[in-house]
Amino acid sequence: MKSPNGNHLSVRGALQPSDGDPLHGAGSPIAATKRLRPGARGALFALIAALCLGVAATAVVLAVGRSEPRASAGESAQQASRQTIAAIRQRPHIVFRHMGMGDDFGTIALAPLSAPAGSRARADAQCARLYVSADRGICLGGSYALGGLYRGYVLDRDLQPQHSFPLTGLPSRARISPDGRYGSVTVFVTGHSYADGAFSTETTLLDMASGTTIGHLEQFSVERDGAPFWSIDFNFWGVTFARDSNRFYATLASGGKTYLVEGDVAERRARVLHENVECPSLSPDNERLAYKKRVERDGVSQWQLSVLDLATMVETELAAETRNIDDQVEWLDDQHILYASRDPGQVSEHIWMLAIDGGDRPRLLIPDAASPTVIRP
Amino acid sequence: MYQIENLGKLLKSRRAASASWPAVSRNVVFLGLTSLFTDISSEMVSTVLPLYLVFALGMAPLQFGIIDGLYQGASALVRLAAGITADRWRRYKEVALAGYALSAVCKPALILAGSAWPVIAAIIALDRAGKGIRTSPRDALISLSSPPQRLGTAFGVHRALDTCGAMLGPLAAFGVLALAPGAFDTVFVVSFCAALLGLSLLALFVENRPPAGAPPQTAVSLKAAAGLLGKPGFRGLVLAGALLSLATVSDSFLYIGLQRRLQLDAHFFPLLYVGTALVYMLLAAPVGRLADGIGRKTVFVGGYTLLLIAYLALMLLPPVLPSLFVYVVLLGLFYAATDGVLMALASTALPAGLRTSGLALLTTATALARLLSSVLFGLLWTWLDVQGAVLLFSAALATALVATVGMLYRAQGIEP
Repeated sequence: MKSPNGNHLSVRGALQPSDGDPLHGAGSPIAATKRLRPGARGALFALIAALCLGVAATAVVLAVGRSEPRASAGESAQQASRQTIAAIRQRPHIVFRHMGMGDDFGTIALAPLSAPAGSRARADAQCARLYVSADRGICLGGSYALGGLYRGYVLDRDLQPQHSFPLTGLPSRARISPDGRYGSVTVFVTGHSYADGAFSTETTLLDMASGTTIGHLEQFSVERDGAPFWSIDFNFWGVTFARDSNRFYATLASGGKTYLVEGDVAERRARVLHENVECPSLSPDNERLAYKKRVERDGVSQWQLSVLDLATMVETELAAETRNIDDQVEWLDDQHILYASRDPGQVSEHIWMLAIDGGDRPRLLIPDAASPTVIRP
Repeated sequence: MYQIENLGKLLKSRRAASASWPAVSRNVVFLGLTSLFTDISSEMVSTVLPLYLVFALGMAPLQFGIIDGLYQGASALVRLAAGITADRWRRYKEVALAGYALSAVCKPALILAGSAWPVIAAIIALDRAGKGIRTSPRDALISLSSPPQRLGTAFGVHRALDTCGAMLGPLAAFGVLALAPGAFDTVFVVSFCAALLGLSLLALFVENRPPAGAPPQTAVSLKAAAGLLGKPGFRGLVLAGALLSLATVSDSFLYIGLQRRLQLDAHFFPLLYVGTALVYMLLAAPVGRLADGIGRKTVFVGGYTLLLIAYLALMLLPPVLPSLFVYVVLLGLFYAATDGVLMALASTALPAGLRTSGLALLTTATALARLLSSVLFGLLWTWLDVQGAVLLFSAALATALVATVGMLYRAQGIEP
C-alpha cells in the first residue's frame, strides 16, 4: 500500500539531521540555543518553566489576596446598608448601576428622586445590566463558576440576590412587568465557530417569583400584514411591558431590518407594527414608545432617539439629542425620558434627562451612572 | 502534566513496537507541546475576553462585535506572506517562532492597554496575525520532520496535543477567576506564562529541518507559490479541499440545527463543542496512524463520508438525547480523519522547497470556502428551513465527494 520511496516528492533528505545534530543553521537568530548541549537545553527549559510557574502562581496568590477583603466585609456594614436601602425605597427613587471606576464599578446604587445626583446608597451585587420593580429586581452579571461565565440574578426587595439563572451570552437588556410577574432578559449569543463572527440575540421571559424560564420570544408566532412571518435569522431584543403586564413591545430583527412588534405573553404571539425601531420603552401612561432609530447622519449610521405616538402612529425624532445613543430608555414621567450615554473615549457613563416635547437640550441627571429605573411606590 | 505523562507512555509503547523509527519525531512532539501550551494561552484569553471588555472595561457590545470581527479576519492576510518568507529563507522554525512570540507579547500588552479600545482592537488583530504567521511554517516543519510513510501519525499526534491545549485553556481561565473573581489581569499574566512555556519549548527543543535535497537558492516568490496550482496533484487537492469545505455546514449552524431538532436548551452548546473536541483529541493520533496504514486518501474520503452520514442522521435520527452522542462522535471522527490528514496529503504533493507556501495556499483556500459556506447556509436556511438547507448541503457534499474521489485517485503526485 505504501510507497515511501521512488516518489520525486520524497522528503527523505529532510530527515538526515539526527536529533542531536549540532550547529545546524548556525547564524540564525536563535543559533545560540543550538550550540547548547541537550542537557543544558533541558536545564534552561527547567529554569524557564520554574520561572513561569512561579510568576503565574504568584500572580494568582496576589489576586486571591486582593479579592479577600471585599468578601469579609463586616456584617454590621451590610446591616446598615440594608436599612438605608429600605428607607430610600419607601419614597420615589432611582436605582442604577454605579459607574465610578474602582472595585465597586457596576454595583447597584440608589438615590432619592428628590436629589438624584446626591449621595447614593449601595447594594453589593455587581451587574452589567439592571432593572428593578417595586419589590423585585433583575441583575445580569458575571459568574466565575465552571458552568458558564454569565449569570442572571432575581433580586429581592432589599436588592439582594434571591434566585440565579444561567445566561447563554453577554447581557444586553432587562425589564420587569409592572405587576412584577414577568421579567425579560436579552443576551448576545456569540457564535463559537471559526468562521462566522456574527451576533445573534436570545430574549427569554422569566417567572419572577421562581426565577425560572417561561419561554423564549424566538418561539412565539409572529404575524406581518396578517400573514405568518418567520425566518431563521429572527432575533428579538429590548422588551417593554404594558400596564396589564401581559402585552409587550419588542424589537424583531430579520434580513438586515428591525421591526417593532406588539406581543401577548399568554398567547405566545406577536405582530409587526412598525419598522426601524430598536429597544422600545413604553411611557407610564402607555400612550407613547421611546426608542432608538437607525439614521444616516453625514454619511455615518447612528442611533437617533425617537418617540412614536401609538394612537396616531406618528413618529417624532428627538432632535435635541444629537449623540449616538445605545440604550433602552427609561421614562422619568410621561414627559421626560432617561438614558445613559458615554463621552467618546470614556469608560464611565452618565444618565441624561430629555423632555419629549423637543424644547430643551438634554440635561445631565446623574454622573457615573447607567441602567436607570424610576420607582414611585 | 497528565498529558505529558501520557505522551511519554505513548512514545514508549510505539518505540517498543518499531525499533527502527520512533513513531513520531521528537520535533513533532515538541511542536505539539508548543501548540498545547500556546492553545492554553490563547483559549484562556478568548474565553474571558468578552467578559473583560464588557464587564471590566464597560465596553458596549457593539464595540465588542467589531473587535470580534477583527479577531476572526486578521489571520488570513499574513498567512501567505509568512509561508513564502519561511520557504525563501528555509527558516520554518524562526518564522513560526516570530508568530508565536508576537501572540505571546499580546497578552501582557492587553493589561497595559487599559481601557483604550482602539489599542485593544489592534492588539487582538496582532494576536491573530501571529496565528496566521505561525501555522503554515509549523505544519511544514511537522512534514519535513517526518518520514513520508508516517505523516498521518505525525499530524495526528500534533493535532491531539493542540486540541488538548484548546480544551485546557478555558478550564485554566475559569480556575483563575474562580479563585480570584474579577482578576482579569491575572488571567492575562497566567496566559502569558503559558505562551512563554510554549515559546521556549519551540526555541530550545525544535530543530529547523531545511530540506537538504532542493538547491537552497531556489527563488521563492508569490509567482512560484501560485505556480504550485499548476501541478495537477496539488491543484486537485486544493480544489477538493475547497469544494468539500464549501459543502461543509459550519459547526455552529449544525449545533443550532441539533438544538432545534432535539429541543435542547442553549446551555448545551458548550457541551457540544467540548464533546466534539474530546473525540477529536482522542482519535486524531490513532486515525492518523490508520491513514498511514490503509491510505490517507481513503481515510480523508471516509471522514467526509462520515460527515455526510452525520447530515443524514440530523434529519433521520429520532429526536432523543442519545442521538446527540452519535452526532458528537461522528463530528469528532470527521475532524480526526480530515484536518491533519489533509495536511499529510498536501505534504506529499508539495516540493519540499515550497512546502510552507503550498500549505498556506491550501489553508487559505479552505478557510475562504468555509466562510462562503457559512454565508450560503445562512441564506438557504432563511429561504427554506433547516431540513431543506441540510438536504441541499448533503446533496452538495455527496457531489463534492464524488468529484474528490475522481480528482484524488486520478491525480499523480499524491501519495496514498
